[in-house]
Amino acid sequence: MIGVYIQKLRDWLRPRGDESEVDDAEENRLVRRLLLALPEARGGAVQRLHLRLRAPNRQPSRLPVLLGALAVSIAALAVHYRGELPIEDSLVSEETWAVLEPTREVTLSFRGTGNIEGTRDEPRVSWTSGVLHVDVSPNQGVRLEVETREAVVRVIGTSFSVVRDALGTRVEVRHGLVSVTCTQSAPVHLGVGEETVCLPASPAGLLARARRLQRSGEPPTVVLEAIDLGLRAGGVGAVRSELLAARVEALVQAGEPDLAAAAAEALLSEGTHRRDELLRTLAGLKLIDSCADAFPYLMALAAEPTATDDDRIQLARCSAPN
Amino acid sequence: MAFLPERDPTTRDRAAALREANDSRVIREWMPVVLRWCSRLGSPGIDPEDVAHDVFIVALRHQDHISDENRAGWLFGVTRRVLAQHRRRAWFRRWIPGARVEATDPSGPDRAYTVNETARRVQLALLQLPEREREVLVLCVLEERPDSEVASMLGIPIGTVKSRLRRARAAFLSVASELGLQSLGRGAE
Repeated sequence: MIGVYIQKLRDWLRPRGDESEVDDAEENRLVRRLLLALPEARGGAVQRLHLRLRAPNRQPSRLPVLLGALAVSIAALAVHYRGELPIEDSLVSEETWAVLEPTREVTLSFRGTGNIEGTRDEPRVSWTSGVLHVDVSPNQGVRLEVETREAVVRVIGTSFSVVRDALGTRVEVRHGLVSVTCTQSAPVHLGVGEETVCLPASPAGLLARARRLQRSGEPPTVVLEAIDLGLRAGGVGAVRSELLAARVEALVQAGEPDLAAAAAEALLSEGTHRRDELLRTLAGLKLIDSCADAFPYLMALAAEPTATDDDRIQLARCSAPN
Repeated sequence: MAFLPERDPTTRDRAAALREANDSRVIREWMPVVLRWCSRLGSPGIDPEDVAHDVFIVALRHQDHISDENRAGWLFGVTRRVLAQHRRRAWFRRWIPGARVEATDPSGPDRAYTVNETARRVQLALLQLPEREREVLVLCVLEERPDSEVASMLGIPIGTVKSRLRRARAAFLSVASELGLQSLGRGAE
């Protein structure tokens, strides 16, 4: 057994010598023959390369171009990253004027409530109520937007005010140019000194506008316009009822007793929590013509739990024979 | 400006002429060798002339720092790096429609097909090998350079050249046999 291992060891240690070298040389020849089939350079390649290398415009180093491109990429990334920084803040100052600079390019002074979000390049202010003055440094790539229920105001460069109250959203431009998009309207560009008002879009907003117009003594036609808009906007329930009541009031003020009476009748037939007021108004409108016309309304009014002594006195007057 | 010494135009011209003569000598001596390396170690989609051109642009820019004894190894190193760049570009070009470079053979399409088909298969077999074994096979077997010279060119010990050569030969013959190329080698004997 040991003898077999010794013999194997001898075989392994025996110099390979000629036999192995002959094998290698043979394999080399075989491989060489195969490799000779590899493609050679095409005819005239050396001459062509001579000509190309002699050409005056040798390929310039690309290093400066690459370094330039790298620098531009880093700068662009920095600007982009800086522009993408998120901002978020609340704007609340009911009593006094407050000033906020969310970015170096934007200054907001306000009295009211809202909030700001978005990025440094594209800040978006949602303005709920009050007065907001906006200053944006021009040509800094800032695309600021102020959004209210009625309008979207986009800065095209500069400084403007947004006032949101019961009348709607009013935009005044102090410098530059601003784009205002009222709800369901095309954008309008406003220049220096120009202003526009975006009317409320909801029935409740239009009711509030009508009430404010009434209180501030605006002509009844303007008030009626706001009320009719509110009714067309689809007011339902209590809002519709209030709009119709405001319409009756506006028609009375406009000197249209017949129209006012018809409107009050219509509202009464729909049913309203302001029944006593309507009956009182109808009785008053009918009294212009005669007690007999007013009598049914005075009777109905007297039956209401909220009837006053004046109502009953008026009923007694119309009941007494002339 | 006025205080700077003016350069002697004749000296400048003479230096330029010397440089040009030296460039011409390097190109004349080494161009065929580099072109062969580019053809043999390249891969499909790479134009050997383009590679050789780029190799010489680098070589002529740095040739003042290279001694004549070391030139073969240095040029081979440059060729190897430039080839690697071209391989990367060829890889990218595969995704660009119409951008692939196809070398054309002026001897005609029929002959081009036969020659190209065999060459393509041999190249395919060679490409199955790792790059360092491929280099040893081309330098030792095809160009019949002594092991010592190849070791110096590649900057590795002679023993490593021999072992790589053995492995490369065995692998190449095995792949060649799979591709039906061995009959071609024996038939030519």
